[in-house]
Amino acid sequence: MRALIADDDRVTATILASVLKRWGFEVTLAYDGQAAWERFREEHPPFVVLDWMMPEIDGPELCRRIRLDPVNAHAYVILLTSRDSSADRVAGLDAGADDYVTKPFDREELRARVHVGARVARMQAELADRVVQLEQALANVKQLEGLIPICSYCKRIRSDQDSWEQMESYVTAHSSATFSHGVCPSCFDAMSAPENGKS
Amino acid sequence: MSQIGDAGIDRVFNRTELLDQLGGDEDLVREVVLLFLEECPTQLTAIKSAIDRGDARELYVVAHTLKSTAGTMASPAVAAAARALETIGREGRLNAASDPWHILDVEANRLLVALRAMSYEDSQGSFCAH
Repeated sequence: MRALIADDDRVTATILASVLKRWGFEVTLAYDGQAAWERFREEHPPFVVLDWMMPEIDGPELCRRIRLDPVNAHAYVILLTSRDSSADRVAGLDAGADDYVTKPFDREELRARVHVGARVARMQAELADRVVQLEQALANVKQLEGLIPICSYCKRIRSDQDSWEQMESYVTAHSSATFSHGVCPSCFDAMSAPENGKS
Repeated sequence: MSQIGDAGIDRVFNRTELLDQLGGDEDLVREVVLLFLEECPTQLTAIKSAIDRGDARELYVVAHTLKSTAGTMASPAVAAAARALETIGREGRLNAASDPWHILDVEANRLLVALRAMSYEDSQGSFCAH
């Protein structure tokens, strides 16, 4: 899984990159908010670790942009910062972060939170794939529903293109049903009566 | 390995804590120490310049970063000094920055000396191992 790390503190960024690689991530590093935003748009990482205070674009603003991104709005975002007041935590989570870790971070706590995030990111990816499959299946489903305009005399049906077509062709085009042609008893009697009369 | 035996050395730099924080990775410790030796002087210059120019915002931002880095580097004395200047910058009280700056300058340079000595001893140890 790809992770984007954004921190203008190169010491912390180096440490984070090292530990995330050790935990199985492919890592992209950015040292300011603008570079981080550009890398996010290019690579669509499912996992993001952001510092709060960065040049160009800060962590909370990056969170807000990520949540509006049409391709990757559901990336899992951890905000990493030494701002540790309750108000800061609330502001970070309100900006769209999924989790908040204070610096200096405890390695084991970070590992646990990162693994939670990776699990959530994997579930989101699986759900997104399932939605795509369902949408594709739905596009292939034909369904007959609603008000069907039918001629009271000839029983032809007005189609979507405003032409009148035979009932069989309309039903076949708008459902999975097919027709098996036969003769009902009343029509059989009506059709065979003249023949009986002749003999 | 560094044999600096000052009783207060852990306030300057706790190598054991940093090594533990980095999962016992000696190479990573060396890498971040070298990175800090590069970055810290630049940050100190930026902080002094911000104080001299009266730029409270810049002081706040750079002191905040140095505080974080020093905390990550297991350097509580520098972290505490940087935190004091971060607060002064955030509150715009630059007239109160002089003494905290002096403390940071002393502590940071003490840390840099310790780290340079440690890096030198590490490099000598690697050389001797061959």
